[in-house]
Amino acid sequence: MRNVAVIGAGMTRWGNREATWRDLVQEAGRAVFADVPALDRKDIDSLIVSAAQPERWAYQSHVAPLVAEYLGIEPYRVVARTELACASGQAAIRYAWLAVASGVSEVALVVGAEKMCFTNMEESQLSMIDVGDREFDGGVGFTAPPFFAMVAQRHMREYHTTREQLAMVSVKNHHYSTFNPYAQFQKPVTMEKVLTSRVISTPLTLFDCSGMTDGAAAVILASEERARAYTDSPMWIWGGAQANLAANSTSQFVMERWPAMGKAAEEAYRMAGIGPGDVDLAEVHDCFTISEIIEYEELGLCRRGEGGRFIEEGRSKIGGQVAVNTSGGLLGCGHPLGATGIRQAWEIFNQFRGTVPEERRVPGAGIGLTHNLSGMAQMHSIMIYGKSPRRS
Amino acid sequence: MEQQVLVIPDKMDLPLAFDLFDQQMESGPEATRIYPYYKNLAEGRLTTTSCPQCGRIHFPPRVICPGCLHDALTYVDIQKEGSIFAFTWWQAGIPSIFAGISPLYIAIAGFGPVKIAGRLYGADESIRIGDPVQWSVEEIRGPGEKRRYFPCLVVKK
Repeated sequence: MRNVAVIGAGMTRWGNREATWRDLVQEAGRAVFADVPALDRKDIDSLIVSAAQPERWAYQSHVAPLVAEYLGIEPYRVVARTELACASGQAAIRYAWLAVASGVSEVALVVGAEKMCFTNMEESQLSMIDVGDREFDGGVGFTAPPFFAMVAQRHMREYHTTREQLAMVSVKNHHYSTFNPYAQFQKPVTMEKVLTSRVISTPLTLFDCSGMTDGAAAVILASEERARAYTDSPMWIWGGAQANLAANSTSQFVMERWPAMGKAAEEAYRMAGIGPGDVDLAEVHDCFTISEIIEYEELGLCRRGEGGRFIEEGRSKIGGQVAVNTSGGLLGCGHPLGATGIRQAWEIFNQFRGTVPEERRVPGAGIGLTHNLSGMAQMHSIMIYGKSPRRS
Repeated sequence: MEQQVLVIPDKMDLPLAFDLFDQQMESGPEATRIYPYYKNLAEGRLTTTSCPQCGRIHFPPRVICPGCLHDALTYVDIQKEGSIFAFTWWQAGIPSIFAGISPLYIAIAGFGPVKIAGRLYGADESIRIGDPVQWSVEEIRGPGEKRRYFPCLVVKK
């Protein structure tokens, strides 16, 4: 397989936007094309679009041709839309990577978008039930907050993780998002605010949870041969892996650990030829504060059960052991399902180039990782990126 | 000049997109091949599928065995007594379909080889992981005269 580079990235402002799904796609498209002025759009031979539920939220299916038309491109090699709930964006990057790595595609555009905010949020929230097992968990009322509330409960019981340690994740990520002009939330939060805000589902409060967000992001991938014609600072894909935990909530016989994530991490590290100690920065899936804590453990950044201590000791901040979620993560940026995985790649790409605000820059970053879980931690997906081409 | 007008209806029957429960029908386009599961629930029995070929018990019930792919599965009863594996008290952002239930506790409980997720009745803030529960059957009423069934959990005092 040949080496594949990310040559450009763009994103829209994320939040409760006065814009439709297709408006957001156009903004992201324009932003990514502006990022690669040397690229002629005619060179884009493939398009992968990521959207988790445009049928429910934008009342629009078959979105790839719509995106091609609105962005003025005419792909002719690989075209599809990916759906993997919260990991749809990473899935799109993965397919574009494989299309280019295989030699079938030379230049592939990846666009992810989701429109989730409406006057009647009831309908939007009901659609979130569909990312879980609708027939057996939907009727119970399982949306993500009660599910992850149970995950938090079990982790706290098993490993004595505290509510304060959970809150630290929110404080850290909201701190970083104040320096991210694209993020949904740009104000810091205090520990006290997190602990005393409205309870959503015990023990999680409002600031333990990521929001419903409108947003889009895009990246362009190219073969090693073509990449250097377009940019002096490409980002290289070193590898990735995915693993499945379960679909139904009751099929997860342990909730406070995610063995599938550990398995995906092991496989991704192996493919990339690195270990957890080599990772400089990581964009992980902090849909809830507890998620980031478990993710430290499953990525091998700390031992089982020590995720709470990891953040408490400052090891997931810039200057610590691994800079985690310097973008602000899902908690700070928001979580438009189809776009999140692509926004994470955007962050690593811009960190490598040194083009993020200094207050959240990771000096000397050379190896980055992105992780997404999907739905109720049902599947886990990991990609590894390097500032230089993968060492063979 | 006359104004051309198209009137959009402002009410319609509950679309299936927002009806959270399976239609639980034995025949017709909305039939389900796990109808016996729902029929048993209607009769007050919580059952699930078991594979006569490899012996696996599956929950949720299904049509093919994910272990050995055998496709003539049988239904077995789930033991009545169980214990709480995890629970939460849901207080905000609740879909309005559940608005009448207060307080809204949701739990996952272990019943031998399977776990069941359901609304938990009879709980208060003293509930803990490991507490004994029994499964029960919730009757889902509506729309109109339709009656459907879903498992739930009841705290055992």
